[in-house]
Amino acid sequence: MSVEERIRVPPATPVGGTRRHHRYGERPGIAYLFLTPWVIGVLLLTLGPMLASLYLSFTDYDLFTSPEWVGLENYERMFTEDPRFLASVWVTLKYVLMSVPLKLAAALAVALLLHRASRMTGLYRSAFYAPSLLGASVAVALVWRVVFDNGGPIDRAFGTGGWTTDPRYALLSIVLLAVWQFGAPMVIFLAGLKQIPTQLYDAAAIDGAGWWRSFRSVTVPMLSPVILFNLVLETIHAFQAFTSAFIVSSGRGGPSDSTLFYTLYLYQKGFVDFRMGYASAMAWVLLLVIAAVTALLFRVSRGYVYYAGGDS
Amino acid sequence: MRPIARWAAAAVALVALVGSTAACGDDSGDGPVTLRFTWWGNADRAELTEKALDAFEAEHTDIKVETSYAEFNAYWQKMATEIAGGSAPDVLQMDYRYVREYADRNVLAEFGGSTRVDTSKFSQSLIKGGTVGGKVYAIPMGQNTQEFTWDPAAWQAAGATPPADGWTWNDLETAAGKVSASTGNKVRGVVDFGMIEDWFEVWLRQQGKALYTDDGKLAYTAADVQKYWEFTDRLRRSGAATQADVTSKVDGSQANDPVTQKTAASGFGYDSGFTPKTWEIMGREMKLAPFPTSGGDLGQYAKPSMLISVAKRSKHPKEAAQLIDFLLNDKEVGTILGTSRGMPVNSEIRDAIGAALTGPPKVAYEFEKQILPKLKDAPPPPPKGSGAVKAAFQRVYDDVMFQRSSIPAAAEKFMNEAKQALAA
Amino acid sequence: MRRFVWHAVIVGLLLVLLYPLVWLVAMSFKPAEEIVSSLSLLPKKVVLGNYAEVFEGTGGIPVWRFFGNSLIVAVLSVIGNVISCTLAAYAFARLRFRLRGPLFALMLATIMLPAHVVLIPQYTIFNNLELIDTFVPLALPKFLATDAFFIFLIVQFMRGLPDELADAARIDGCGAVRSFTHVVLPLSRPALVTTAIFTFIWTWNDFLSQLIYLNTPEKYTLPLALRLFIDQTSESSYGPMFAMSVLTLLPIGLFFLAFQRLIVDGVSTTGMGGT
Repeated sequence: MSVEERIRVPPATPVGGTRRHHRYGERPGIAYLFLTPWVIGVLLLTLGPMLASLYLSFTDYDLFTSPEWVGLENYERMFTEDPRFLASVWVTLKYVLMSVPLKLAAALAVALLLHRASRMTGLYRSAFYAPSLLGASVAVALVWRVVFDNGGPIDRAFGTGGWTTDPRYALLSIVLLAVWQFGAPMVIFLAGLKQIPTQLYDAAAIDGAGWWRSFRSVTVPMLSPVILFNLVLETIHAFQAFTSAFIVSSGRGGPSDSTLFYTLYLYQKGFVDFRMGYASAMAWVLLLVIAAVTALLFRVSRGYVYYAGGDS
Repeated sequence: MRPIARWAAAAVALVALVGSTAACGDDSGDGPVTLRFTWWGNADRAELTEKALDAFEAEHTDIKVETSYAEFNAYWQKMATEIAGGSAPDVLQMDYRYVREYADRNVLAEFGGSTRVDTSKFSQSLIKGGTVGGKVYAIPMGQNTQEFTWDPAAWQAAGATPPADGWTWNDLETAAGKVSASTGNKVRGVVDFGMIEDWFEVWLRQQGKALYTDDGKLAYTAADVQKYWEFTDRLRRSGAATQADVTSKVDGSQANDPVTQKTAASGFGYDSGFTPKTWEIMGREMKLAPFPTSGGDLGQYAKPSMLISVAKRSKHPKEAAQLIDFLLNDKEVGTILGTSRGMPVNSEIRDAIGAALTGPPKVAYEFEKQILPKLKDAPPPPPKGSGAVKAAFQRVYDDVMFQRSSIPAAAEKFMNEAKQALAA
Repeated sequence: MRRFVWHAVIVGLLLVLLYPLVWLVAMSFKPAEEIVSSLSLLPKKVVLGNYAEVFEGTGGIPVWRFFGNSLIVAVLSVIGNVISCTLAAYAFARLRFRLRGPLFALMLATIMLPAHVVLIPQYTIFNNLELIDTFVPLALPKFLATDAFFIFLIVQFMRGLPDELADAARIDGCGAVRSFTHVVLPLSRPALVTTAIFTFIWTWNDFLSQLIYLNTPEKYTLPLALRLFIDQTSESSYGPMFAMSVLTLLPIGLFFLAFQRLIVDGVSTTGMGGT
């Protein structure tokens, strides 16, 4: 039996799609029992604030006085009268397109490298995760600025001058900060790799498949749900990137707006300029864009993602 | 109302309803009053503040004070959230640039009547910094003024003329140029000051102009901005001032201050920035001088380094005012707090603690004492949207420094953004 | 030989990656003046004063207090997230119900809205419940599975479990609950451990919600305490800030080192190799 036959990829059906049989002979209500905490959370803590922000996006709201209904004005102004909004969209798109592939590639490569038994593996794994332990603290920001400073180590190595203070390189330095903290997707990849039954690799080896062949025909399809997860989540996170830019640029998004991320601008509008109505409108535009991109990723993934557990 | 609006408003109401049984259990009448006092600052200030509050509680056994503090930026985000979320503190530390922003939005209580705070020992020009439309919404807690910090050793090594009373902008240009040249441009003469609206303000005032008119409109033109930037641009191009990559780091923190980092020998600032450890952090002793002029007015003014307000929603405005009065006028507390919130505003306390100061605070104290007679009234607090204007001033100047835009075009761009920010 | 190359590649990569961390540690041993003005990695003068200053406490509050508070919040969050997200994930991944599609979409949508615009309404809710300045607003949401990220994570893992296992359980006459506790849960251990580790580390570092919901300095957590060293309007203590950053890293570093094995060993010991 060839590898391909063993793990032939069935066409995945969409979320909530039809299915041949009921599992477990379950009663339909049982699912809601499992969902109870989540449903309470959504009703009590999530849905209300989300709808509130949707409402506020149609108002002029300065945080302290009652919101005033202005219809679509916030949305119109965004696309017609606000060059900084457009600049922030552009910065964010560049960031998403650069940081997501780089970060995922780094995470997957290191996960593959570490997916191997050795006495040192645990230590190595932790060491690779170490940068991600830091989150985005003030200490990280200061270190980052020193490392990328004029006369700092990167400048000495490449002779490019200071990065965080140069509009041409500032965004790149923040991309690198994100890539540097690839620990989370790496761990998720590792956990996914461990889930692949080893006899698939054995079978592949018996069929004479080399490393690349078994990577392509065993690892990638078996790992595909996890790859999709990481891709979707990292994309969402990249669109929402805030803290690193906020901290490295002291909240300004500079120099020359070169690191003015979408959510950073949103924050400035809401909490510095007290225009929460406008900020809420920006938030909903972002939600729509992210939702569209996510839907696209799910759609494209249908032909590629393999779920051992069938549909869903 | 449109259907969507009605539906969404219902959702908002639902949010507000969740557990709306709250917010009424507060003490009514007899029991001890609890005040919430929030402020920004560091741990040293926290320790001294706690001591001062202990003294207050010992004297007013019926009042208890709960405190909360954070660093400046976090403080303001928390404050906005709390007020919008319906739980403002009773007493809050206030910043000059936010007084009007908050007062105009009905967040601050007016002082006077039962909330009187004794300001008889304060410089009356300073009180204007907390006054909006003739009503006092914030009382200064500390006073400071603009200054020029310079490194005497660097000046001497370069053979430059030291800044003195009545020195001019041209003197600055010459001296800074010499310092840069003498160090082979490793240390620049002066930190580029084109991006800071505060120093532009002094420059404007020297010409009898101002940042804002009394009704909160811009009181200068694109031509003024252009002239100012042309001057600072010349300094940068000649090498006298810091270059773009260094200047763009400046964010008000010590870690990113070129003078502290020893990439510049002088710069403009406020004299409240001098704390006991300043020389240690800067790695050398500095001197203070007044701003250079164009031969006429000095343009500087006594500015509240920070203020204090009572929230309009406070249930205990009287006690809140008592606390403020105590913090600002009690001699014992004055010695406890020292200069942890800038130079005390009460002149008796200032003189009392001034004698005991040492190190950088002493230098600042002496400087302020000497310059005080020349200072003019503080302008009224800047209008709503002024924070965005200040930020735009720095941001658009980035374009000038990095030569992404001509100066006239940048000045024009800035004016448009400023007008838009104020239009709200 | 291959083994050697493997080790060499890894160590080489780590040298580059950990370089900034070495900076961080080096900074914590530098005097204030060097931190801001020197661009060399090694301190010219090694000082321990930064650490001494941290142990003196912040604003009269001993440093262990911040550690304790952070620990409470992190542990509660871990428990909450693991329980509630697993339950929800199981329903989404392995059960059929009519609203699954829309609810799954809603779950994803809750990840997509930037946190800043829901901050104030959420604060209002907790304020009305009189829960401000307690740990409840920080922990309760975790017990109600508001971290949809983890639901999605566990869903993806549960979907990846081979159908034969579930089918076997079905033939054995297991209901959904028993199939959950006896088959799916043990097999999902890597995902659950991942959830626990991430929740712990992310809560440990979370600044915004802790800033908003905690008022009394005695209740401050580590991320809040760290920021108290830096204030742009007064004197900043960079040295102690770096020292405390290093101290803050140690517990989560050890935590990760201890638990990362479980991600890996989880599967092989539950016999999934023998399907």
